[in-house]
Amino acid sequence: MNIRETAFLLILASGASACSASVVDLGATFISTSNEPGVVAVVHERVEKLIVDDERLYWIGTHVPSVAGNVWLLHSCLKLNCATTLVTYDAQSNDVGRNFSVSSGQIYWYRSDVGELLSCPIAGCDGAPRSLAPELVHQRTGLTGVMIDQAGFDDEYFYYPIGFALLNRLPLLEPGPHQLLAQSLSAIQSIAIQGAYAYWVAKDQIENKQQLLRARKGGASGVETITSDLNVSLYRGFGFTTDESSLYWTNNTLAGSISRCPLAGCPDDSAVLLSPLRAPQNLLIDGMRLYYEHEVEAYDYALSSCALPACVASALLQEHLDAPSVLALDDRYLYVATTEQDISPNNTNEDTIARIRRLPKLNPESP
Amino acid sequence: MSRLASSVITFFWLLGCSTKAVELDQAPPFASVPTTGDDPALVLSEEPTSVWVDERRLYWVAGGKLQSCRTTDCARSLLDYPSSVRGEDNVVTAVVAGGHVYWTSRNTIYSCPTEGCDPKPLTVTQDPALQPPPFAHGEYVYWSSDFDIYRCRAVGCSGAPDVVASNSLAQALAFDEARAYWSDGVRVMSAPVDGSAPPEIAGFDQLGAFTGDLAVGGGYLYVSDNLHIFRCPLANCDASPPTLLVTASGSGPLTQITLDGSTLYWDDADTLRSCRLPACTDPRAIATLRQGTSVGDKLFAIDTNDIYWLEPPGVGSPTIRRMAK
Repeated sequence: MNIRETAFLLILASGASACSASVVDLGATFISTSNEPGVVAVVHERVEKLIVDDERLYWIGTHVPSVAGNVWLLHSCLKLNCATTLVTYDAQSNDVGRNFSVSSGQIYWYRSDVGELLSCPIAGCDGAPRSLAPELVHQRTGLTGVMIDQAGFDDEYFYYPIGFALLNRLPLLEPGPHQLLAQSLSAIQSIAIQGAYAYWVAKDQIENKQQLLRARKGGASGVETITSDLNVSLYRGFGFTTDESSLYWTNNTLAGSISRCPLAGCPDDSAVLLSPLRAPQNLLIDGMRLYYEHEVEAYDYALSSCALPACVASALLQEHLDAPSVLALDDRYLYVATTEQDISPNNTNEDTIARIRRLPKLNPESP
Repeated sequence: MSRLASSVITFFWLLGCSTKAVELDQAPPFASVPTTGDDPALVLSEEPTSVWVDERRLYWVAGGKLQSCRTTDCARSLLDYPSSVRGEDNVVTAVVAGGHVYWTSRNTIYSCPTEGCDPKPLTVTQDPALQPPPFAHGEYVYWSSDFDIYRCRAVGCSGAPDVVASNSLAQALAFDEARAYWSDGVRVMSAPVDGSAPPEIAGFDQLGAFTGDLAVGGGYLYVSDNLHIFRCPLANCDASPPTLLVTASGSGPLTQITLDGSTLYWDDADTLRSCRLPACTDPRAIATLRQGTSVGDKLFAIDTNDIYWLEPPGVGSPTIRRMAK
């Protein structure tokens, strides 16, 4: 990284706190093309999450070693010409609230350092990002900088303050007051939005067991308990998805598993599809094909898949993922980010390089 | 020895009650130290927090570093175990079994042969949910994570670790040949050491909540509820009320229950005590111990011939003392 880029990142990091971020070109040395088959772009970042839509690829990543504290950068590029179409929406100095969403031509993200929900057109921020919910967190908790998890979907934003039992909903197209969607019996540990429901994991303090719960996104129903047969570690990402008949989740422990229940809920124990599986995390379904990310060994993540309904596992599709949630699907391809570097916390000095790759999807309708 | 000579650790050998400090390179063999209750074994430059011993070596953690030496020739056999692959982190706690020493640092369990790393430690596992301390039995290291009790071989796990018990948390863990026993804060559970069968209640289901220690030996299970030490036969522990062996001299806690043949040792609020089994009617104070600072600190250790313990700070230089059993 040259001096110009380093200085720019510092300015970006400080300017971002005043919500003055704009479209940014980090320069050709930050992102480059590759002759390697399937490589969309080579970036000098640790890529943490990928999203893809019809035209663009979006990701959030951080530089290692950091040049201005822990600066997280939110980017996109055109899928067909990534290296020359880079857009950077924002940099945030916290390493929490890494989640972001893309919907209806807008990209949404949460600035955990100032407690603000922001958006820009996907083509880039023309000036400062739009502030949708200033001081989102303080209004609920009286605290600033509280970590939240979030799941943006269908132009609504769902969030819970860490340590609280309140699941909240915020319409995005016509921002207004926050709505309390559901009140859990104990602190919410993770949420996911699928179909008509918001799902979350909380701990039943009396039984000392976790529960998977859900409520309709519109808030028109009570809270349903789906199952108590799950083990979701707060130290790793929680994978959750649904298809027409079932819901699937990752028990993300070291000797973990992927489990399934009918959408209506589990009558007894859930069905274990794959076990033991080391720290399974992100899940995506494509027809009858379930993709899952998991650890091969510590801090070495891989992508595998299985054919539903039996979930007969394939060989590893991709090794050395950059993070356990770097997987996106479009009509034709899988997108992942990979690295040959040590991504454990032990490696703090090596200049980060990741490859964003496009892989042919497996046939979604056959094993 | 050049590495030792450059070490920041000042390592002295004290003979008898004299304060004759001897440089490590010139120290006499460990076996030449008279073994009376007043004899210091090792004087270190930093306060040790735990001590262990096996058939050949004495191990200790001091200043975030794990070291060992042979009990018969300590001065000439000092070993440093690198705290991590990078060697920059602090050792939190350690355990020794089956020819390997294991330790934790930054949510990682490392291992080395007891006779030294070659040259870097092996990463057995990295678990962000690791609940120290680890435990060891045979060629395996055991630990509690946020939901399960796991084990890996000393050479590390390939993929997922073995699950010894699901939905279980071990505050203390003990072993016999076939089974692992642990206290979960309410009762004592057990399962095959390889997790090949579901956990069962081993006993003390009626004791009420406790957070104490446990030990297994001679067909009996020994459990502390912090104020008492009880015993029951492993075969039918809950068939009759457990036998009360020891009551704390004060408000407790009673920790680090250790069996050595027919002698029971324990830490009674920083006093090392022992009694003869089975009756345990003759408890006696052996030494004043350093106060533990972390869960899993081992303040004394016992081998075939000797008892080793951490002397309380403030008396003089940080010292591990030794006396004949």
